[in-house]
Amino acid sequence: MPFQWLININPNATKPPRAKFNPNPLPQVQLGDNIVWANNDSVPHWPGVEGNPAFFIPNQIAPNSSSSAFAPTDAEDINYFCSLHPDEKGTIQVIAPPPPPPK
Amino acid sequence: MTMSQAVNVDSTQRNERGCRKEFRAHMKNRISALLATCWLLLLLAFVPRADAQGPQIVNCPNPLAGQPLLTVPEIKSENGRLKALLVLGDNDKRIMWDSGSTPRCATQFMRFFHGRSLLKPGPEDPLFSKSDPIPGPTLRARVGDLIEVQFENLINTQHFINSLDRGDGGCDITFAGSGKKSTNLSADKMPNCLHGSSTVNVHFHGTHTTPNTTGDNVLLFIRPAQAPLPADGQKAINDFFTACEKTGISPSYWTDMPSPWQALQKQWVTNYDNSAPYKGQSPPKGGPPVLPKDMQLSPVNQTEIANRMWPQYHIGYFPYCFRVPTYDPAKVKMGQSPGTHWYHAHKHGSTALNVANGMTGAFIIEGKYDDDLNKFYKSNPNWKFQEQVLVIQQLTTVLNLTVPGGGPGSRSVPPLSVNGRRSPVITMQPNQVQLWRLINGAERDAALFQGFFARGSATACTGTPTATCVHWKQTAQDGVQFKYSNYVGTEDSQINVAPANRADLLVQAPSTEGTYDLKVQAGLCRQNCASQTETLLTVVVKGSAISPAMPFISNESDFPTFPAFLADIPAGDVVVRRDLVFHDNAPLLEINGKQFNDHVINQAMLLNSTEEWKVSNLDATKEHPFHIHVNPFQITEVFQPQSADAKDPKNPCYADPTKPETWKPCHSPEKDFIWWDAFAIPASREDKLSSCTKLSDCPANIQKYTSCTQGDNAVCTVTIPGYYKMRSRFVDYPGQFVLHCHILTHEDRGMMELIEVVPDTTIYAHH
Repeated sequence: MPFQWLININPNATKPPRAKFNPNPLPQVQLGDNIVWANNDSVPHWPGVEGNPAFFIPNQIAPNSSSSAFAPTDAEDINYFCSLHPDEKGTIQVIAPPPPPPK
Repeated sequence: MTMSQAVNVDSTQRNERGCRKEFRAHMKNRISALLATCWLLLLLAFVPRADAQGPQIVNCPNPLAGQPLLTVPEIKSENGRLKALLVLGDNDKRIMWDSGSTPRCATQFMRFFHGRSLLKPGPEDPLFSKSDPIPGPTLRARVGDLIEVQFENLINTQHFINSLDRGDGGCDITFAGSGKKSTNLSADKMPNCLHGSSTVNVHFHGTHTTPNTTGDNVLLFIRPAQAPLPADGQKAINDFFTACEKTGISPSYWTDMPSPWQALQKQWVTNYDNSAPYKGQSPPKGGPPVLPKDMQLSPVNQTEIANRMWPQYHIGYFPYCFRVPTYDPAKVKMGQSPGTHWYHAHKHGSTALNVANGMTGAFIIEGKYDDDLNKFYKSNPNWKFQEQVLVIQQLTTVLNLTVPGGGPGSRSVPPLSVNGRRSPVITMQPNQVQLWRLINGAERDAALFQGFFARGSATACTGTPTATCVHWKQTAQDGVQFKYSNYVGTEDSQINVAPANRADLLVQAPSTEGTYDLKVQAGLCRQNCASQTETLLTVVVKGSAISPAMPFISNESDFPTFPAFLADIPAGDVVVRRDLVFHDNAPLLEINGKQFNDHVINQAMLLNSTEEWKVSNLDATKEHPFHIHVNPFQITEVFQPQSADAKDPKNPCYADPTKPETWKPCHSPEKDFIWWDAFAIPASREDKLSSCTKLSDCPANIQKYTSCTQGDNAVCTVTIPGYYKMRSRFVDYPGQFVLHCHILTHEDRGMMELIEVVPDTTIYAHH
């Protein structure tokens, strides 16, 4: 059964990088799970990947708001960063579910 | 309630401006507009700013280890009133679990109901704050009671994905990423898409009451609270309840509500409009709002109120007050049927996710049915008659419709649970009879009984009345009691508890100790579709044997008296006949070729009229459970084209694919029709035709049921629809409400109709 993972975007410093992703890295995500970001900061953030800010979600996340869901389809590490604040970085570790045992 | 109280104006804003334009055009006369929103700013003042937690992986409880069944705390009516505080909250300590061979378990935020009686001071039951994701409190009332529910939506939206109806994209979007690309996997369009799951209302499923104002009104949008209920708000709600107790019925107009309550809601809705973020931008302190005018809620409410309609949008708090009427021919044509009913969240677009989170609860309405059962089973002081309220759920936080390899048996379909636990244990004494009230509150799957299996045995021991086993007989369906004639033949019958169905069972333990697993097939249909067998619950028979043994009721005089208002609806009373056809016309989920449209009344019935409907299903692997609010219906005919008889060319009941005149049941009851309020429409049958490979060559009489593939190996397939016929009376309560498929993602994605019962009086002025 899929889980819904949540990554907090937390303000933690007065100097850049202003915000941090927590947890980071996000481990144990299986194919079929969902991931959302909760922006606990007072400014917008926009997780995306190199060359594609809309990789996960179509718009930036408003302050004190949460994002749409993202469902990865490949078992791989996804390195991402905030498209508005490129020094804020994170990783999502996607793993394939273990195969069912032979019947 | 009127047209403009229609559902789903909640919509919004898809990603492009063009959509908004189209939407606006669509709304023309109604300012409705919509939507939007993520306004979390205000919430922050109220909601603790703790770091939200994702799932924490934990060890899975072993279902075979035998966790005892949890009894859900109850809120009981007293002296003709049920008065409850019902809170929608969330908790991050709920245990999820998986089915299959590689279970994963975790604690995870879930949204669920909890609450307490307002007739007695005191805290709510501590069970609600523990880790098991139990259903909401069981409401227990009596026929004739006034039902008062102070509902509070206190969801912390920071814990749930874009769960407010949002300004920067209305539909919940599930993206699948691959490499540097991402794709939106959903072709669904507002309002028939999953969206806005922190906006809710409460459906009192099975009640015969008004669908308007503060009754069983599922056309409301109650958004999360911005702040704790202020003292003047509580006073206004108390004043409203006092007024409702005085009149004994729901109010007719918004202006009947205490004026401080009208003012507070107006202020909260305006605050919402002024503070909602839009496309990632929040309004500055003191304004102006960033939400476009046509997406603000306040103008919609104000227009409705000005037109003597009930406003759609409410923030945080809503007081329900309605009566479940006693049958009295001088006042009502139908009474509330005493029985096993339930309540659940019902906001179009998030009903499935909300019910999957656990926003369900039992609503037991007692009456003479209970008195009669108790009279018999309490006639011997040695007998111990116990009742179990059993709410089946399918708990998950993710309705991922696009999971690769999804489907029953895969990780994407949650297993069934009962009162928040997988395969819990019910303990019975030898020779005991219990009353089980089963409620299927799953968002997706039916539970088709496979019988009780003695632990370790591969075959069911039910089916032979004399076998040492747990046996059952059914006394009621969907909260409506059986006539004795329908009860007698039900011992160990194969019950299909489809989503929204309820079944009352007398369950009898054997005379000796033992462990018995009740196995069910969980899935979308009975035959030939992917399903999985699960142990729904386990009965452990132990302790001293009850003597004399408690029997099943075997005399009609001991069986609950059948109320006059539940007598058969005669064929001669039918004034209108209709056809409804359910079809998963992928990717569109349709009734009569259309998706739900919040501006269209699909069916209008005259108040107090009687109708007969033929409800058909074109899908071979899904039995869409048809459900209609307010009035139950009687089933007079059921045609299952996939039944063994209908498939056997040698059987007189054979449904011949080339002869549509044979597509009907050959046996139907002539009287004592059973009442239901949800019925899984039998699946269709698809037969390949050997006589033709091109549609124009196929027999003319079946061409409209036939489709052919193209190319060298073209094949033509005829679809024989499954169907049932029902009769219903649309009595006592005019207003707008809905009918829909109770596979709840189907409802959310468009398999729903807005319908209206229209008063049979005319205001006629001839000048």
